[in-house]
Amino acid sequence: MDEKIINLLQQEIDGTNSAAESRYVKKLCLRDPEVARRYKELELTSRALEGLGYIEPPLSLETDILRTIDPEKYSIKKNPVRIVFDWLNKFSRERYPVPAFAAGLIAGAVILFLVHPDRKTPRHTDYTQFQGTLSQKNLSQAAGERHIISAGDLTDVCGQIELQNTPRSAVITIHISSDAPVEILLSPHKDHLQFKSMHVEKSDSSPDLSLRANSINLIHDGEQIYIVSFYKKAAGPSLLNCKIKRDNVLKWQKVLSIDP
Amino acid sequence: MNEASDKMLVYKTLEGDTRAFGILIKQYKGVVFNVALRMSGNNEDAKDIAQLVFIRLYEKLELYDTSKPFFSWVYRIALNVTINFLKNPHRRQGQELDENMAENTVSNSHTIESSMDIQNAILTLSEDYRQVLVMKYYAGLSYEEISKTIDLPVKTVKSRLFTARQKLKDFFLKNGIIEV
Repeated sequence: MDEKIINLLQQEIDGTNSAAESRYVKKLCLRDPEVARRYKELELTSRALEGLGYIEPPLSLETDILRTIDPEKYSIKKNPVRIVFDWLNKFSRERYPVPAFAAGLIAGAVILFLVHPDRKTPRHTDYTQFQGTLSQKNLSQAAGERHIISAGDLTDVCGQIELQNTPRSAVITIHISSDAPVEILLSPHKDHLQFKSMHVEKSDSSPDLSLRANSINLIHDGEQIYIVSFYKKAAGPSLLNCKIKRDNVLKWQKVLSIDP
Repeated sequence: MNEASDKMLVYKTLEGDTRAFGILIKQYKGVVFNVALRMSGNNEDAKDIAQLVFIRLYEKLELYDTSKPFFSWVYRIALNVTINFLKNPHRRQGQELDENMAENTVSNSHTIESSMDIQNAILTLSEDYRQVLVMKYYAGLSYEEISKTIDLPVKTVKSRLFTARQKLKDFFLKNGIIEV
């Protein structure tokens, strides 16, 4: 049988034919009993396969997996001392206990030197900046449709907050106002180095993954890195006003325009 | 499955939030388990495979290319893990559909026997055909999505799907599962 007809028969079974193609298949079936038979066989085979249906996975599957994975694998809070200790422990067990012990002492001294609080001379007591324009490409989605600004886009088009060597537990407030509804989403991302050291202070009304608020309080804890994404929730141009306040002093204010 | 929220969950997992990974497991465990089940024909194997798939996903999460759909990455890993698992000569013997699964599998139109026959027929297909068929029927993917998942042109996907269906049709006719 012609490859084109076979393709059309299969697409008809899978519901991907256009109306014209469907009409053509019906016509072919009426005209040619061989085509009609092939179509019927395919249809019945497909129905038999669909009939096997969906099986619910075992209830224990999820807990079994979560029990097996290493929860610390991606934790940026993993203590560097612990990493060195684990490595030395493995090294000494395998072959060289004495050199490993000596290396451990040296590594410990280096870590103590590096993490000592006196070394943390702030380069900037507070440094915030916003760059670029929130462009149509990223934000003028259809009403209600979400669009994630990727880490790459953020460098050029979205607000950046850089907090280097600031004291721990600083409270940063980002106030957003806009003439169109904007959803603010914070997500941690360790590769995005511009966003450092913030922890979302969750309010009861905020769901885990996103904050639908005009104002966010962030607690800088020296560990987390967050991407701040703005989702515009309606089509068309709009203005987005951002203010950033740290430790009750308004340091910066700028209006970001969203191109039509 | 929402692609945007999947990526957000990936980012959160990469920050050490295992609860986010738990949500990803919830979203994909059904399809991964069913794909494994239809590829292996064995309930216990399917459970082991699904577990291995999610462990592999977690281990390799850093390598996920966020410019590509997350689901196709999940299914690609699911297929690779399944195929490797099935190649293992030490895996449990007896590939036939077990009775418990058959009972759960039975729909209005099938008896336990015919469900077992259908599953066994799927197992007679070579991996190339089986994976396309399983992706189509038990992961619910379109031709294009299958093509992205297994890196084959759409034309090849369609052709493999057709051949798989032809082979199964012959088996079904021969065993009285379908009658024309």
